[in-house]
Order: sequence, then structure tokens, then C-alpha cells
Amino acid sequence: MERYSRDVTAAASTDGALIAAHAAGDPHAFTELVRRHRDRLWAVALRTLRDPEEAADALQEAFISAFRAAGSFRAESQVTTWLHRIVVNACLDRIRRRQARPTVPLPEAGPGEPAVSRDAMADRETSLAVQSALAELPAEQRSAIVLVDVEGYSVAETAKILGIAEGTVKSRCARGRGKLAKVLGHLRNPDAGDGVPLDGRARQARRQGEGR
Amino acid sequence: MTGNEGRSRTPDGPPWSVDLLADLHAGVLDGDVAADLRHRVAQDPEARAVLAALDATTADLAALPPLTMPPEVSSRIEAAIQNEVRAAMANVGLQVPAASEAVEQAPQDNVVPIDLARRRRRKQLGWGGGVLAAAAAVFGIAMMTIPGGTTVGTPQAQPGVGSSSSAPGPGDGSMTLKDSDLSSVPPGVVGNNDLGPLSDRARLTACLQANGYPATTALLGARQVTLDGKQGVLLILGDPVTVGRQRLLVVGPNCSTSTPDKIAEKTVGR
Repeated sequence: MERYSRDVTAAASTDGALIAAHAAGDPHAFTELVRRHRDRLWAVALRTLRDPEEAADALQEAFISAFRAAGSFRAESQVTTWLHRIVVNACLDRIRRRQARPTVPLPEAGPGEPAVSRDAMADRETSLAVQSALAELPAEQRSAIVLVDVEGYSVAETAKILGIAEGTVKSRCARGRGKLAKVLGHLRNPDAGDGVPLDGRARQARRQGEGR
Repeated sequence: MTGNEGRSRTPDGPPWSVDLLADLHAGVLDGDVAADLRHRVAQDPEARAVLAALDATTADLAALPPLTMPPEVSSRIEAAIQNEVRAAMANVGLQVPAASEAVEQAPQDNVVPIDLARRRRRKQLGWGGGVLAAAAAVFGIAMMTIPGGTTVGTPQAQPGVGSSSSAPGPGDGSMTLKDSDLSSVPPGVVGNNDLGPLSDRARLTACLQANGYPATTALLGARQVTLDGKQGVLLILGDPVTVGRQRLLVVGPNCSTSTPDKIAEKTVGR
């Protein structure tokens, strides 16, 4: 019957079929699943961690634990949601560990960031500015923003990936966007009542209570 | 959470804080408050500018170009996965010669090694969560829910303890079942390849398709049975979509292309 299941890999059309095939012993199914989703998961990991080495480590760790845990995959969630959740958790774990020890600031934009063939320098500069602005957010806000605003996941799906309430996703996005709007210079006159300093970099002043 | 201030009534303003406007923008506020605030914000150029700035921010974020995993990262990850696969396979392979009599009778091409004694020795297989856990889950359920009255298998308190020598091997003759035995996976079937009249693979695939199962369906085990007096083959199939759920399909000997010859069909598992 290994013959039987081996054929499944090539023919399987859904992620669910692939993970079932993997759980049933198909040696190729998991790699196929990874190939399908690696770019999006790479984007999430790199944008959450901002360091290609760390992103690669986190992804490898996440994929191996997904490989081993596939038998306990709860089918009521999407395979992609489940994979994202494992990846995001691996990234956030790394950030927590990183925060537990002193580190040097990360570079403005890591190597491996978009090598897209868009020729306009302006576009590239904007995207570098956005990436470095993202780096200023606390990890919880950043992961919500990366999933919702960059990767385009719905609030509901992001809530499942992050394991938090939808309202929490929304408020993390709200806090993060407000801060990014200042850092990116879209909010030039942010004196709308809460005494936010004009300089968006004075973010320490508003740290309290954010990220929830 | 700054949304609290807006829960009961619309906050005074203008001006409104950026946080409050960002909450409005993100849909954090309650419906009535949001509607009222939106209406009032529309009259205030400064607040409108804040909302426009938030829109510009989300547009910038959405415009970030898609990323592609660098080839060196993907080959490194695939190599790590291959290591896991090899570890699992090697362990399965190594265990076979050392296995008990029951295993030696088992067909070589079982998809899931189910020998419990073997599994017990194979403590930390890489595939612990995959192949073996799937078998363990199925077995666990079977062991715990099939009453002792079933003529096959020995009910065991814990999967992983004791030997499986009491589990029937193929060729032990057909297993006698009642319809009510199909409320969970009967013991001794997962990993069995006792397909009887469906031993030909093309025939099996045709039979599955006649019963609405795609060719991609994982076959977890098969056993010739007599179900409420009817001769047939019990097939345990992985639900192609819902992992952790299995289908128990019993078909008669005539099952083939466009002839389902279905005797029973049950869904088990979570």
C-alpha cells in the first residue's frame, strides 16, 4: 500500500489531501505541501523577524514541527492557517528570546528583501521605508499588520493564526497603523488631541498599553 | 485597549485622538458609536486627514512586493525534511526484522506499520506525529471503544502495551462483524492489506471511485469481513479532506467500475 499512497502525492489536489497522505506515510507529501506555501511563509517569517538567517532558522524549525505534528492537525482549520500559525509562533518565540538578551539593532532592510524587477527607484525606496517603519513596531503589532495589511489575510483568519480574538487583531492593527502613519510621514499634523509628538520616532512615549 | 472609551457613547470631539480614529478605521468600535463617529468625522477636515493617512499607510503596506524564498533556504529546508523522512523510514525498516511473528505474517506493503510492540520500542520516531500517531489514534479509538465481545483483537487498556500477536493477520479467514461494530475502527484492520477480491489495484481504484472516493484517497487498511451475514471487504479510508476522520466502507465482491456494491459506510473519528 505504500505504492498506493506514493501515487497520492502527484495526484493530490488539496492541502488537506496532502496532509492526509503525509499522515498515512507518503514520504513526498509534506515536501509538496511546503513547496506550495514556502514563499508566503517566507514573506511572513522574514517580515516578522527581519533577519534572513533567523527567518530561515524559524521556518526550518516550524516545518519540522509541522511534519511531526501533522497527525494531530485539527481539520477544522485550514492547512494554511495551521502552517502559518506554527511559523508565526516560531518567529515570535525567537523575538522573545532575542529580547531576553541584548542585541545589536537589525539592519534597515535585510538581504533577501525584494529583489523584484520593478525599475522605479522610488518604489524601492518606499518599500524600504515601509519595511524599516515596520521594524519599529512591537512584534505583536507587526505580526498582525504583516498578516492583514501586507499578506492580505482577513481579520478572522489572522485571529486564528495568531490565536487571539478578532477584536485584538483589529486593535493591534489600529495601533500599528497609527504609528506607521507617523513614521512614514503620512500624519504630518498628528495633534489631534492625544498629544502625540510630531516626531514619529518618539514612540517610547506611547509604548504603554499598546500591543494589546 | 482604547476602544473602551467608545463603547458606550461617541467620544467628544473634535479633536479626536489618532488612536480613536485608528480604532474607527480598523473597525474596533461598536456599530452605533462607529456610525455616529463616522458621521461627525466627515465634518472635520483634521480627522479626515488622519483617516486618509491611515488609508495611505495600508496602501503602502499592501504595495510591498511579494517575496520569494531564496533557493538556498528552500533546499536547506527540504534537506531537513528529507532527514525526517529518512529517520522515519529507517526506523520502520530496522524494526521489521526484529518484529514478532504477527508482523512476519503481515504483508510487506502495508502503508501503516501497526504492530504495537514494535511501536513501543520505537520511542521517538521522527514521524511520531505523522504516520504512527495516525495509526495510534485509530488504534487507540479501536481499543477503547470496541467491546470485548468482538471476536478479533484483544482489547487493551493502552495502545503501545502488549503484543499484537492476537491481531489477525491476512488469511486468518474473514472477520465477522455486526453493523454496530462499525461505530469505530475495528481492531486489527489498520495496516492490513487483506483486500480479497479487490487485490488488483485497478479494480480497487475503480471500486473506490464507484463509491465516490477519488483516486487520491489514502487506504489505511483492508480486511475481508462478513458483515451481518454478507461477505465483503472492509476498507478503512482516510478522509481526503478531514484529517483525523476515517471512512469505513464495506463493499461486496462485485464492487468495480460503476458498481458500488456498497454494504455499509460509516464515518468515524473526530
